[in-house]
Amino acid sequence: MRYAELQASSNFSFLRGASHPQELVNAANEYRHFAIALTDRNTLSGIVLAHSTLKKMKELHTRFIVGCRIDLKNGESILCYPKNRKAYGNLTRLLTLGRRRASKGECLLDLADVADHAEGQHFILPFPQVLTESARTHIQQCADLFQGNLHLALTHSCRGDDKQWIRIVAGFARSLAIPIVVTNDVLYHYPGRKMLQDVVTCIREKCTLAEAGFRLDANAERHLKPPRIMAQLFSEWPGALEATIEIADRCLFSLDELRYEYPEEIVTPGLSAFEDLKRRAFDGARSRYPKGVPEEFEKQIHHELKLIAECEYAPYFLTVHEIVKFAKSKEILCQGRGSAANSVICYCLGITEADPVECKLLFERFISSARNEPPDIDVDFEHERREEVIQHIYEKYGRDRAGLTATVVHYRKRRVLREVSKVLELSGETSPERRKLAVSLMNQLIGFPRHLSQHVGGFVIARERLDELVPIENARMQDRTVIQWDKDDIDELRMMKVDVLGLGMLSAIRRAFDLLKLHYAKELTLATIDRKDPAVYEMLQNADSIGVFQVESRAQQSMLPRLKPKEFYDLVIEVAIVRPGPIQGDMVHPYLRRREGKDPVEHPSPELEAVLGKTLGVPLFQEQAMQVAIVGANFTPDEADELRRSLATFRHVGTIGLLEERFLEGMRENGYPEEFAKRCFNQIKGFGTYGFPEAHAISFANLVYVSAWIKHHHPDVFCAALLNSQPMGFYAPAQLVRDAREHGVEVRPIDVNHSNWETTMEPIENSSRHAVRLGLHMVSGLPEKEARALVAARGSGYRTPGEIARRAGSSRRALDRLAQADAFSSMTVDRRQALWKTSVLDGKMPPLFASAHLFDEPEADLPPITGSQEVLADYLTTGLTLRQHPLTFLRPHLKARRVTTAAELKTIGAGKTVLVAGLVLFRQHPQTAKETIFVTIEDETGAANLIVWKHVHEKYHAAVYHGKLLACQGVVQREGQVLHVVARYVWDWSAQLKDLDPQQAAPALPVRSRDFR
Amino acid sequence: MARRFLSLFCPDVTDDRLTQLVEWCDRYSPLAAADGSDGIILDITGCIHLFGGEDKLFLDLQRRFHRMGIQSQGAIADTWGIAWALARYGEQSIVHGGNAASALALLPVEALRLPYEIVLELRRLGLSTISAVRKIPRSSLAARFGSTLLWRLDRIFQQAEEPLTPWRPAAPYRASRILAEPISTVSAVEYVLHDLLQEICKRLERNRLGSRHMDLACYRLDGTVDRCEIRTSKPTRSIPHLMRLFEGVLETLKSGFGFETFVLSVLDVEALHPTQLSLSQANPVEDESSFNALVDRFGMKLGFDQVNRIRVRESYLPEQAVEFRSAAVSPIAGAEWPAYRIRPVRLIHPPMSIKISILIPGGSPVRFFIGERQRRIVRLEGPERLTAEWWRDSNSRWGTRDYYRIEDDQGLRFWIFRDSSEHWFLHGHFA
Repeated sequence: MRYAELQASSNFSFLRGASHPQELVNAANEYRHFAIALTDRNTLSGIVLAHSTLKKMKELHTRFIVGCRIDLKNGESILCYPKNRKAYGNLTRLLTLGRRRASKGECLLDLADVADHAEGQHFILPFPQVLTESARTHIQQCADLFQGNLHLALTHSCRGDDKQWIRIVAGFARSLAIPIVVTNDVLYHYPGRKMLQDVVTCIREKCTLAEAGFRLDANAERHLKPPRIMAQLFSEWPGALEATIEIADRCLFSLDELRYEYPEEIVTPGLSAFEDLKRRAFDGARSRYPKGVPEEFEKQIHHELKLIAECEYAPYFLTVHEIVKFAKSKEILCQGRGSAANSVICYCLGITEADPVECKLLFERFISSARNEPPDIDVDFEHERREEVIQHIYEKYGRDRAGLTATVVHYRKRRVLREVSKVLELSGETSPERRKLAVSLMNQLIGFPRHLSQHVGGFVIARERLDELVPIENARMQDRTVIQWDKDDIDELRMMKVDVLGLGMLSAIRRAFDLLKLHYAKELTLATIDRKDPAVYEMLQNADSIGVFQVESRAQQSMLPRLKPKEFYDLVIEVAIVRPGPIQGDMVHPYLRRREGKDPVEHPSPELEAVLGKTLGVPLFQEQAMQVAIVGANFTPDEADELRRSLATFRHVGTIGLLEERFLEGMRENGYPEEFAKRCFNQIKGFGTYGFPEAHAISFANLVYVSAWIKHHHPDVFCAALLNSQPMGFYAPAQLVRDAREHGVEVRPIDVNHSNWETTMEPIENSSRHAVRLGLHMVSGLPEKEARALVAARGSGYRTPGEIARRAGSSRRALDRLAQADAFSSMTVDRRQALWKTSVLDGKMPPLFASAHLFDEPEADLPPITGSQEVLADYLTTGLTLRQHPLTFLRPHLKARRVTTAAELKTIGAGKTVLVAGLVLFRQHPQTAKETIFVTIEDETGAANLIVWKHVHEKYHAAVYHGKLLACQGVVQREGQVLHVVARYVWDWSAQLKDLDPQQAAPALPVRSRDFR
Repeated sequence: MARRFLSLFCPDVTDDRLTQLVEWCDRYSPLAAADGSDGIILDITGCIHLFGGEDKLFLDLQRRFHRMGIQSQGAIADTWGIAWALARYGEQSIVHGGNAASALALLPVEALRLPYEIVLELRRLGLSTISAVRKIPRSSLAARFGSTLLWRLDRIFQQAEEPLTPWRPAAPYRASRILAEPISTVSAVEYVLHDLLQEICKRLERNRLGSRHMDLACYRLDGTVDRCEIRTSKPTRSIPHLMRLFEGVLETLKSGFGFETFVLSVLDVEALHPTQLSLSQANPVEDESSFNALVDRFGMKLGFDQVNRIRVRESYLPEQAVEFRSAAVSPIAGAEWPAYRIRPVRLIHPPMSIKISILIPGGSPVRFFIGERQRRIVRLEGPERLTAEWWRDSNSRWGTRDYYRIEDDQGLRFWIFRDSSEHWFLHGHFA
């Protein structure tokens, strides 16, 4: 008996289908269906998964048919199957049309649209459960439009009167001369998923199971059924069964026919892509090495070119080069990373800036990785100007040729827990059996696709129309369009994408370069800074890294003094080592001990030495971990790649266990001890999700060095550049300013007569250095437009707040914000007086009204402002103060309680118990130490680091999570120069901050309890 | 004569409790009202002598509050504003005219009961006490804070008067009779009630409304009140119907020394449009309304939770598909039943176990037995497959059921099913 299932919805028909596409096609293959078509609602998101699953099948019985269920605006539906490549393009264009005119997640189509794209399609009308007037009309219209390419489905759903009803529907079809075909309108691959299907139905309908009523199916018949059963159910209709095969034989389109081609315009006319790349690479090499390209380097270029020619990757490199060239022409800083970025060709083309020769990069690595996975180059741009690059790509190639990759957002544990609990009405009284059932349903739902989101910056650019390759839809963001496939789908079809990403540090560095040029007459680029300055490394060794890219976090700061970076490659390791991967895999300590010479550097075999020699036998980079699997456990490159992906993408159920067995066995065969093999696998597991490839680490290390160099040589420039690039990085402006002042930078307050919108630099008399003048952008709530108007109308300066209102036309609100931020001090008007004066000014009002009170207003008798009030007001309006630290005012009180300052802490020996108090700078829950929270607090003398173990933060939950001013008693712990206080008790003293301002709002007095005896 | 206000601040009571307390404060003055959500204001002008002086009244009130376990703080002053401010931000006190200014001077600006934004603005300027604000020229204040601040200042310093709205809200439909002589018999009360009903129902009819909840308050000579109320399942303004409902409850009234005042209030109204009366005898409209009257009488007699309506519930399982709802809840349209799912006229509950004989294994039944009697099946349709409602705690013991509609050789039709363990049951008869 032959049967093809032509109507099956996977879980990409969100909250309708209850099986993954892989599960459906697996089951179909097992039942030896002749073919299976995936017909998800208005989407082709699941087809690549289904297609590739079948392709990998060892014993293939079932052919995959691309299909789609098109839900029309009027509530009717039609199933569509492209018969050939051209029809497929029609279908993707149809879906693009419907998606692009609707808001995210929706699709607006009517039958006329389908008719416009009907060429080459076969259609099936879903089986009607009732023949309403509109259903009859719809069927009739389709009969007229698609005659010859249309079937009507018969579906047996065990509703009681099936035999009779099927006869009626078939009779109706005959009357319109529509042939009939059997389908089972499948929603899940086996009946056991009916419960999950009920649950997702309820999530979709936002109701509980008890309320769902007829929205649920009456039985579990909508599973994939073996051909034998289908034949029994339709024994009366052999022709309709045979029709499934006929249709399958007509719909021969396969995704293998898709040929992705690069855009033409990237290639210089008259040259082939390869010739063009070769020319550009050698041009680049000559400008990198004006005195002559080293022989080894040239050899490598040839080597890589050969490989690129083999794999036909030249257009990809050219595409990236075009984008980078555009950015450079607009003076947008950018830098590449990613697995293909460690090639010398990228260095020649200016995509990357770190010389691979200098970094002793193993050239072989690029080649071996390129052989088994498509090249991947991510390019970081200044985060504020990335949009320019994106819009340039849309503009240059057009929206029908360029689109962002999708990211499939999956159901995660927390959301599943919430949704399923709601649907099942779980409560404290739920019985254990039901609870067990609920947990199993939750586990099934975890990993289901929930919706499509836009990938951060992965662009796909096509030669012809992209919307004939894949449907394009609107993203939530305006002016963004997203294709219906994600990164893995793209890889699978060997389409290539360029990642256009934003990086805050690049914006800051660009600003620093501009300031250096303006005030110090130095012209620098990412490539020109000398990477061998010992003073810069010394600074980093001392963990003096606030504001420096990547290495400013707590974990990095404590690693720096231990790793003691002395040269550029040490920074590469620094960047790679403080990652969850290496930490989870317990690689940090072995590496450090070997580096410090405490442990001998050993290699279990010469093969592994070749892979791990550079990092002292400890895998630190992602590709090293994969190489261990290949060299140590006999994985093929494809298998290693599968291993990486199964670890990275969300829980590809079951595969990890198999791969682990495979790995351990391979290691055993090669004679490695069991314990070593296990440790290796754990390390690899850690990398899957979080590891850095070496090329990433090198590119990042380059930015570490550049930012550290600026910080060391020009702390004033560094501070101004970072403040102007906020929000970014780890620290708030308050800490950046504090750090700058500690490095001897003069920071001047915001002032209406001196500040521009941005933070600027002002010369200091008799000094080569400059002072940092905080900009008006620091004033919270001040609109940029008003601030710029104020600066533009300033001329030779303002004498009174009234002048600002008149000349700059500033609004009442803007003046108020400025007054509150104490920006009038150059007029010798204090904050309170300024508030008083500005509160009747409004430059937006006609002058007659605004100035009515100005001249004859009697002096107001305002109480003077206190120091602590000033500090609090500073914090409220600008987030930082140049006056005293708030804790200065509390110090007498703190002293009485024997609180140790952060400065005193440095002199206290390990093991001593201390009481510390400070403002919370930040809290961290590292993924690698879920049980622990790191809290950094700050007082007027500096910062202190607290470690709060689980049992402590559970006990003092509110304080640890929400306190602004914390006090903590604990034990001092030292590791080299790094100092922690391990908390025993934590208290929230935030209420004391309020005491600083006696003017703060008075609560009604507490009711005193009285006694009337 | 100067007016006197007593403000009480009791932050810990719930809204409901506050309402009760306001009503309770009637004993001190009829002019009592809730003051925000955390206090009570009493106009005690003219009531003071009843308690032998302000201090005595104040002490009495505090004692009683204390005994009730309510934390409170209060003040008496010449204006509502001063009393409010002192009760919350000052000393518990009784303040007279001239002392007010000095008692208020050091209170925070919040005591002026200003909108939050104005308080914030004053505080930003360092003007945190009432005295600091008063030092600022009025014209400057007006320019910055508009009239609100000045009005509040004036109010607290007695230059602007503020009326007090007493607590008892007037019911939308309310009628009262004050009698010259007290009455104490049921028939006399009925007479007055009928009179009141006529007045109220006429007003209801004018506004196309009907009552669902009425309350008759009967005031005795000694100042105590007795009440009786009636509820209906549907809005009504039929006087005979309402009288009949009252009949049952009037007997519970205890007249004591006799009632002198009656107040009838409608506490809940719903739209009730006039209906065309038909001339024919069998009037469906009247039938329905008489049916509703019957439901109401049952409800009043037995309690509305004892009288139920039947409605369709969305469940494919026949024994789950019907539910009972209290007649007091206005009927909501039930689910529409899918026409193709045919259900028998009579459901046998619980289903009756039957024997079946089948010719081929897995095939359709050809005969079945009810008791000893054998029936031959001549027609059969199905199966209609129904899975159990797995999310219910009390799961059905039959698992997935296959239902068949069958007809026997005598033309009788039955509804039978096979459960997941291959047992057969008779679940209903068709007509």
